[in-house]
Amino acid sequence: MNLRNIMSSLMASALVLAPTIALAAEGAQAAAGAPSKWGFLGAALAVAGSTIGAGIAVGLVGAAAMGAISERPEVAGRALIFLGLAEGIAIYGLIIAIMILGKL
Amino acid sequence: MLGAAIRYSYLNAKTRTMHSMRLRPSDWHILETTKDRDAFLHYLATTSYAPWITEILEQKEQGDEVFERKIFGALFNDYRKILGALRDASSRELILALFSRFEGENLKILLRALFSGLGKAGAAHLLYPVERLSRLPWERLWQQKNVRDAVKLLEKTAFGPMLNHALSQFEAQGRLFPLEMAIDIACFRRIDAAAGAIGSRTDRSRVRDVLGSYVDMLNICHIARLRFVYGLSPEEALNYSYSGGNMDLRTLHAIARASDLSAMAKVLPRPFGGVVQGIAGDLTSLRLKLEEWLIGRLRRAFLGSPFHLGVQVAHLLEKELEIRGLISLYQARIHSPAMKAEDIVPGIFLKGGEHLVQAG
Repeated sequence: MNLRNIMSSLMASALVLAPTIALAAEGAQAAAGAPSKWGFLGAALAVAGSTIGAGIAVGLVGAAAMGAISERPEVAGRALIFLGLAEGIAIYGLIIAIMILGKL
Repeated sequence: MLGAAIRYSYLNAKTRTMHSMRLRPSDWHILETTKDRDAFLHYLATTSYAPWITEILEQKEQGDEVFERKIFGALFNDYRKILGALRDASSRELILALFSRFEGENLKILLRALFSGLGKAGAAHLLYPVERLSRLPWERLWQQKNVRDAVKLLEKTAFGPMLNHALSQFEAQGRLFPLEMAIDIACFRRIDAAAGAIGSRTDRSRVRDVLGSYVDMLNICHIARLRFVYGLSPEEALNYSYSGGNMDLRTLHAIARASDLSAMAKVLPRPFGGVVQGIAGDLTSLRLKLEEWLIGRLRRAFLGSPFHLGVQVAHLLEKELEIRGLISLYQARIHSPAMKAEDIVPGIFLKGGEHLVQAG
């Protein structure tokens, strides 16, 4: 229960903080005229949060897929589509990270 | 929600896949129109029951009892799969408690065999294939010389206290009825206790919803049978009712005091009153109407949030009803081919009846 709460808090923080830190980084960069460590941290958080989210999603979808495939092997193809969708969550974080890094 | 999803994602997908392989109305229609026993079995061998039917066909085993017992292997296989995927001890205990009804049926056969001096060989064809899941000492039980010894051997099992309590009645009356009732009551008390001990509140309420409907249906049929077939008094019939239902004692008492089936239909509370309206006046139609209603309730467990134990319980109970329907249809194909499926199998199997699921 505690672990779940910690994970949820971490993910929520990552999702909220990543753009905030990126904006702060942009501000800091504008002021200082140089890339900020906050920008790198924002990009890292965006990737970390989305990867953790994708990991949880793949875990859940994968387990369900295994359950269904063990009874009806012919649904394996369809199960892979849903696994792909879950995996896609990580890509959103990566895109945000690339956008942040592009601004640095 | 995330915790429930983690607990049930694998099991829920597995159960729903097993549930999706149930017989379709078209399967029932074809089975109804098969011309003989072999055609019935050969068609059934093309469905999800294939492994068990193929065994019967390959071994060329004869006798209706072989089919009736072997087909339950399909249900026990689902019990095994669900138990294998459940980690929580209280959830496992509930599934084992549900399974204990079949152990109880085998115990009744064992006691009857001991009572009439029949050996295991003479009763083996009547036994459910429970060996892979049951932990009762069957070999030792079959070696006992009489009923009392067998009951003593069961002392430390879930059946022990109730059987010990009924032993004096058995010896005073010289008939097995009190022991048989004690076995049934022990099973349902165990199920009720297991349902109450489930840790998660969502699981507990969804399981109670499913089991409450099931026990209510059983209690109505059971009281009707005890009153109008066995001629027991209202108090005795009430005494043998099962625990864990939604109906209170006063309602059950009113049902037990009804003088006949139509009077019973009038005192049934909602929703049963409406469900049994227009029954032909015999116990079979009462049972079929109530089973149809129950299956609608069971299928409702599959709607809404998917992550709870009610899904597994509902699947197991529906599969059990499906197998009982198959056995009835099989017997009808052999003994009274003119009989229509709708007179022996719940209509929801034959016609789909998704409206019953929505209406509950």
